[in-house]
Amino acid sequence: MLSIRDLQVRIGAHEIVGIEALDIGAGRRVGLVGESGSGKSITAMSIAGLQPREAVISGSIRFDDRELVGMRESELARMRGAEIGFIPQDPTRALNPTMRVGRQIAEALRLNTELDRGAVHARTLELLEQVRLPDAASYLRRYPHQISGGQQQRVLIAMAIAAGPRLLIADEPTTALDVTVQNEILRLIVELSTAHGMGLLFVSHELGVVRSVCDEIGVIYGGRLVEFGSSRDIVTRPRHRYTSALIGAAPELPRGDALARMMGKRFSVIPGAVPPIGGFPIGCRFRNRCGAASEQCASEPPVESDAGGHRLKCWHPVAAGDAA
Amino acid sequence: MNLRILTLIGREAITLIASALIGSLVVFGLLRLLGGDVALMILGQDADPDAAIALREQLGLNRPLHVQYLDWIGGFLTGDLGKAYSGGYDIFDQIVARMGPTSLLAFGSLLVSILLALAVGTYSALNARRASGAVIDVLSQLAIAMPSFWAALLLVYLFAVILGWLPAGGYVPLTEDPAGSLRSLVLPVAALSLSSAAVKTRFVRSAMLDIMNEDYIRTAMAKGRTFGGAVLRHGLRNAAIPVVTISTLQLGQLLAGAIVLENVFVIPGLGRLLLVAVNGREVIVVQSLTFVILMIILAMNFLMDIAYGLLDPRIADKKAAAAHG
Amino acid sequence: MAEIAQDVAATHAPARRIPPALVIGGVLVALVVGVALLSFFWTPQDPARLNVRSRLAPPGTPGFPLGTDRLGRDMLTQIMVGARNSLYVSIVATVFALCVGTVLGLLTAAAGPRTQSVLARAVDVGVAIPGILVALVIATALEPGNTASIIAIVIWFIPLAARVTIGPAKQVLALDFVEAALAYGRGNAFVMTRHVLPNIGSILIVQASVMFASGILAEAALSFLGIGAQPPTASWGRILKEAQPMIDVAPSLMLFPGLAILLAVLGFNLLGDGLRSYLDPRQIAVQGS
Repeated sequence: MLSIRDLQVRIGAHEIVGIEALDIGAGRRVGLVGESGSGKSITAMSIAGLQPREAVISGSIRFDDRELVGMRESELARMRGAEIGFIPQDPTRALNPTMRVGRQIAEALRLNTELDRGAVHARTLELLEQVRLPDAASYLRRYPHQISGGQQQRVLIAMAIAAGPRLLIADEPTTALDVTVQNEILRLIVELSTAHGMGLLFVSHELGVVRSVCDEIGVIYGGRLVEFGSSRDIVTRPRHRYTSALIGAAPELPRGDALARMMGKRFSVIPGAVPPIGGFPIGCRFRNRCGAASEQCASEPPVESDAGGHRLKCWHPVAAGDAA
Repeated sequence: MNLRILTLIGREAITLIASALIGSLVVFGLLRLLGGDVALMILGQDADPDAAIALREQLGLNRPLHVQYLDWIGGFLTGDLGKAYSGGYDIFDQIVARMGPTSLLAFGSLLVSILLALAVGTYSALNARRASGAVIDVLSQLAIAMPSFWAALLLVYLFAVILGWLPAGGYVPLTEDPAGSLRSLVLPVAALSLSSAAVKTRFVRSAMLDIMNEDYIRTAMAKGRTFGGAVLRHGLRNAAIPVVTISTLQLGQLLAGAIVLENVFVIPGLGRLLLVAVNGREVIVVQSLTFVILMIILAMNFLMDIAYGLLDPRIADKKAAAAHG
Repeated sequence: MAEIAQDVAATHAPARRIPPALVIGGVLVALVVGVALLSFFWTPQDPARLNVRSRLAPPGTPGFPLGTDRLGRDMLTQIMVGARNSLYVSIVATVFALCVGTVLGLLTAAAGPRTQSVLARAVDVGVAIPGILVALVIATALEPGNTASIIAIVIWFIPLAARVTIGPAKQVLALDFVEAALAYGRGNAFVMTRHVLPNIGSILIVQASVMFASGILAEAALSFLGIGAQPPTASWGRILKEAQPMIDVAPSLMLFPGLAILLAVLGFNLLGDGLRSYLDPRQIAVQGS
């Protein structure tokens, strides 16, 4: 359904994202994992044309047989909502503070469907119920500041699925929420996407979350897709140094996970920090934080290798059974 | 509508009435404090003492002050403020007759300056390339420094004397001839809006630039709008809020400008009568007119504050919380 | 290590670049003040002289570079002398208003919460009243003229000066060392003069410049209406007023006085803006009048 090839996102002179290939099949759920500053959000936003104004996109993003890169803004805008839904990150800022909630949901319907006022009203109530907001009618006239963060996020989800898009992009939908609320929202997203047969691109910095939601996981660092495979493969048999470091540092992975038992490790911290824009080293972008970097890593960016659907970009991958 | 709006209106109404009362007391007192004897002010300091005595009787100036004050205020309600000393006209009638032109000029300018500011400010924010931003800044500075009466004269010269498209002055009542009325108001409204529009434009531009970076613009785009569409539909309304705030602060200036320009364009409004009265030392007329103009400002403030409460629901809630807290 | 050096550098004030507004404003103000001062020593023609035969001469006439008005007075001379009047009225009124307004603002800032909210409200109302109205009332009570103008402008500007002072004064009063001084037993007046005033000084300077600009505009408006400077005192507003009936015959008459007002007001406004950016961009928030 969605095919990304040679996607490049540049801001000024810097290349923020450089992804050679990424696919999302119809109805499949794909996760993008990486720390803050890894470029995962920009990648997700670029698919729908929601990237920051200063960012320049090149390459190819094909949705079915239509090329999204270079598409006229009005056409791309028409696809948003109708074909591609987007759930933003921080619900407290993503809603217009001076417009009532009901009207903001109705906007999604009016822009993408031919329903008349009465039908819009009915469908809005339906959507509120679908996202499990009790006493749906009371939300219609409320303003965003009058409802909680979790409720705001549900409203945003309702707006994203309102017109029945085939692809749902969720950009860290639970990061800004209380821990207690996060699970419910995650469950909601999974249920809705399954029920409507929507493809899902789920972006997060929490590996455990992505693992529980998605069928396939792509690991992003420095704007590069360094590893890609099925969720199971990625978490139990990580091959990129960064991926295994992420797993080591992930508190959410259940204790019972075979990998955690096998490694018998406590949580660890990945040394160093994600460099700011323009601060990545030449060659492999991860090399300054990697325990196994070599001369080759400094001079050549790693080339992709593919082992049965498990793709990798690393000169010195973790061998099976190895400690990171 | 709902309780929130009703409490807002109620609170603003109380402020309105309190300010009006205090204002009337100040006007009443200031004239007498600075000028001394009212009869001598009207007749001139070296007037014939007998004439002064007669005038005091006629105007009831020998009564206790609070009686005079109450009588005057009451006159607004009964419709009788007396007659001008030398002009002989009925004060109340004149005030009523002149409300129309002044309101038209003032409200017209307010509307035009807001619309102009929203248009130019939004355009300049959406096209925020260096050049257009700097140009707008320079033009704004010039517009702010330019006296409105000079701008008026320049406009008159260009459009009335040279081009002959618009009249150099005068006024046609709206009910008589709407088209002619609007024609006679174009230049005065333009001159009056210029400076305040420049100030508002900067606010709109700055607000729009902020809004363009807001997350809810992206959400609107995600629903199916283009960037421009999202900014117009969601941003404009939020940019209107600082505009309303600024407009409220500029009300005094607006009325002041209206007073001056009524005299430049010979528009038969309150400002024109006020100047004539000042020159003719008609103390009672000045007193009443000043109060009326003050009331216009207070009333416009009242409307603005309500508009503000309607536009931004957070403000009304905050105010309510503060009042109960 | 590099990051630490960067952090340290950032906390020091960046090199002060002179804002263009300051330069342009300064030049214009110097021009206006210079012309006003010059007029005491030299003008192209005697200001009182009526060249009856050369009435309404257009600009460029030999001897009368900017032309003459309907009484034959040289326009350039009138404008030079008019500068004196505008500056005199504006500066005197502004200084007075600033003094009184600042004191009022300081009192309000130091007052207890209830008094403070009442006083602050009163100041807000005072700001909202159009000055022209005040001036017209005063002109009715007193004789029209420069004195009435000055009194009117003072009353008009006092609330503005007060409002600008209240916020920053409150901020300074809340600073630790000031609270300590008060606790230590220093009197209020002492604290005000020694601690508060110097700290809000830059704000007052900027506000003064902006108020000079407004003062010039106000004086011109009052003279234009006929309640400010009276003949034969030359004033830009009055010249403009006399030019109005001649607009179709001698349009240049209204051009020059208006231009003079524009340049003077622009100059002081830009000077104020420039000073604000130069002195301390973070702390100063100037209220336009």
